[in-house]
Amino acid sequence: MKMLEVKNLKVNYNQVIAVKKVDLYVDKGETVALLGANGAGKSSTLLAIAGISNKASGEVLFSGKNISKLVPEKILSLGIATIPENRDIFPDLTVKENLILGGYIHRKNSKIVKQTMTSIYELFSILYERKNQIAGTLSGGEQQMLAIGRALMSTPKMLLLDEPSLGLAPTLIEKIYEHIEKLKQNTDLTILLVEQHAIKALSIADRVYFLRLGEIVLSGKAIDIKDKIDFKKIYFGD
Amino acid sequence: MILQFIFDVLSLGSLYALFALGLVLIFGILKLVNFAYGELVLVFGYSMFLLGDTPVPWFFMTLIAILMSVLISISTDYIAFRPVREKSITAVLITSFAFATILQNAALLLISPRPKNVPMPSFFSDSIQFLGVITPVRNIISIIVTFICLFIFYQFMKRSHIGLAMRAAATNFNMTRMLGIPANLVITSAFAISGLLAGIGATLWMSKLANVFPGIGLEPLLIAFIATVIGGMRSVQGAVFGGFILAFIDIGFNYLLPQDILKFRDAFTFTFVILILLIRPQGLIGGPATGIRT
Amino acid sequence: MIKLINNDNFYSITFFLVLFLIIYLVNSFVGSTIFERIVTILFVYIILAVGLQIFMGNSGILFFAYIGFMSIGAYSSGLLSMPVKMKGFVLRDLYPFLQTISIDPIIAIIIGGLFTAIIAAILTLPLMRLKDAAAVITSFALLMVIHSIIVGWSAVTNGPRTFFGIPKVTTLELAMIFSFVAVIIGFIFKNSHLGLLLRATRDNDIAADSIGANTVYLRWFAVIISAFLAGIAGGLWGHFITSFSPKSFYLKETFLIISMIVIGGSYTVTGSIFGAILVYVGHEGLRWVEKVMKFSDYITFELVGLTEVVLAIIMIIFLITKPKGLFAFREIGDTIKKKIIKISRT
Repeated sequence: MKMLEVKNLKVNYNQVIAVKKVDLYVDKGETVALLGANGAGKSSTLLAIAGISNKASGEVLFSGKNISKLVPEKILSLGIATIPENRDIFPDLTVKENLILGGYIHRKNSKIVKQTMTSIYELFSILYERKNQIAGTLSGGEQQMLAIGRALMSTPKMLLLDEPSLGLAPTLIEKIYEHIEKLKQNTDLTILLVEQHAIKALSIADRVYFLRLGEIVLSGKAIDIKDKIDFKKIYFGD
Repeated sequence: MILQFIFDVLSLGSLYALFALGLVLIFGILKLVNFAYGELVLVFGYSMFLLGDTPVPWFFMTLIAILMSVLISISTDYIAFRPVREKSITAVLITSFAFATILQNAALLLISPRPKNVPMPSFFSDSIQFLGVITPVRNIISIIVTFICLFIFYQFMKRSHIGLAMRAAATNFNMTRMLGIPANLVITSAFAISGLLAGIGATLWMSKLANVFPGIGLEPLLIAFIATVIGGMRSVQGAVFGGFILAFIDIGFNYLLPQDILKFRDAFTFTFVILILLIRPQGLIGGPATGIRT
Repeated sequence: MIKLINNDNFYSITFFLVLFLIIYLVNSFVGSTIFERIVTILFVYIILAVGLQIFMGNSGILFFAYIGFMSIGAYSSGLLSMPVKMKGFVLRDLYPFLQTISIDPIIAIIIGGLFTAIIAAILTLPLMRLKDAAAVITSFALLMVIHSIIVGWSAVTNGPRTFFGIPKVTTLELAMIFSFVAVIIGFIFKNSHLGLLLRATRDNDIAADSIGANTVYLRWFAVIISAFLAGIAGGLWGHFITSFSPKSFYLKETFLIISMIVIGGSYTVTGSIFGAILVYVGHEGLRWVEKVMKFSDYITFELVGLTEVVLAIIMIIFLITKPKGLFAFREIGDTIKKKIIKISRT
């Protein structure tokens, strides 16, 4: 059974149709990338899956269960953690407090919380160094790591990552992707990744979908696609 | 003289700070104005009045009355906020205004338009003197109670999961939900604590007034409003300081201004509110800004 | 002639002209002073409602301070028209230059309206750039400021006490005529270029700015017209009721006028008019029920406050179920025009 299945997704904000029709799936343990130019509908798709968007129609199945109409809190409890485009860390809270909030669903079980936090500090050592620092004072890259770490605190089965490279300098993007690669190797996390930065995404994804103007125009295994496609055509059309 | 002034500001300010804190809690998280907030004082007052003839000891009467404030606060959410929260800030303002009207007129209808007596321990009005300051006992109690409340509140927000969740929700409600934190729990807790603070504030307010009437909620509402705006609408520190600043202004005006200008005190205070919103909308103290309406 | 019939406003305005005339005729038929009183005040409320709609409906901003401007109109026109002898009695401390003035009441009402508009122009300009909570709170604060000044400036307003001695000049006919003019203004503004631009800012002010709509000045312009009508309404009301106090222009009245707009529909002029009619008639009806119950044998306590409770509950229900009001989008004229076109095609 596929871990995530999206069927016939449509998202329109009043008159603007952000997503015309999207069908995709993610298998357990896979890393799938959703690529495309700005405004192609990638983030809208992701947000619809995450339960944030109430302008979406269609079906979203998680491990066979229909999660289309569920609220964000429920979706998290089922095992899908979302890291939105702006990271959305809580700037007035400390790094540690951000992480504690990430582990809210495990709050009754302090052992799990502690264990998870320790492993996140191991993965992102800088977060440990800055654990009592106010999150708003962290650099962009550190905030991204915090956002990912926070999402991991809920021990999710699947991660939805919206444009992790957004606003980051190239060296930082390298670093973030190294961390995501490490995550992939050390855990059996399933990842759905939305990216504008296609090349980076292709380097860690197993499969990719290309979106243009709200529709999927190309899909396949990353290795097959990597060297063959004409990026300009895919992104901008003929 | 100076000491008296400082003490008066502290005691009035502590009362104002409690009221402001209860209001800013809702505004900070929901970015919505709770017009029915002042009526929690009305609820307290009338509960005390209704319990007045019973043999219940005063302390327990107060607890019950505060509980009533908490319950009405929570129901404000269910009746006036939840059904229209998504629609607009105007809609919520009108529904909470309507709810306030219902509460006021319920008191008018079901009890009486005339002021009713609220039982207060007599020692509240006894004067004591220290360091050249003369003050009724209730003012000292006001300061002590407020500081205890603020301390407990601070600890709660800093250390408890719900407190943390509320602080997060005030910054970014959607993201809080995405972490699995139930929106409704956060909101109901906020309204409950708001009601608790209003109830405690009402106790102190009533200790001065000693009676309750249908229009009693307006003044605490305005005080909470003004203090919150002056101090900073989004931050807890702001609201608390705003309360003290407002008390400072009010008492200062009383001391300094001649009677014929004093009549326009409200005009000055509200003009000040407008100026703050125009020039420094984050308030004099400010604090964690951020937070778009989610 | 064809242009007139095709004009968007023609049908709506004609409809209300007919409606008003019907109301007038019904009143002549009924011939009761109480009924005439109700109808006269109804027309004043229609002016108020249309005035509020002009700003609130087109800009989307809650205009909490509105009733404050009504009070400015009432007091200023009253001051101007009050007979000199009366002034000496009511306003003992009045400034000398005002003491001797006493002009024709109708002119006083119009000047009162203009004066209100000027005051609004001065006071509201800085507030027009604010949005959301800030706009609402400053508007509320402005109401408080106006109220406080009126209560405090006893030389001119007799303070918190009753301001009386205003000549009773407002007849049903006068109120009706002014009301009709207000309706025309409401429709003309709505369908004017400025009205359209203002509505663009209501829905999306950033996009509107990009097409050259100056949000601040558009709102300001609308607020001035709005305040003018409020001032006129205040003057007419003052010259009907002949005495009032600051209490008549505070939160309860604010709530009443807002409920008219909310229930009727703030986006349309039709909505505000029908909202005014429904709410006012309902309000008077409930008041009557309160009084009647008082004298019946079944009720032993007073029912004061019932009106407000019922109105508040209806408001909440409306905001939940029909948040845009009864006449959410289409003016009555548009519906009529459509029907006529349909009929003329068959």
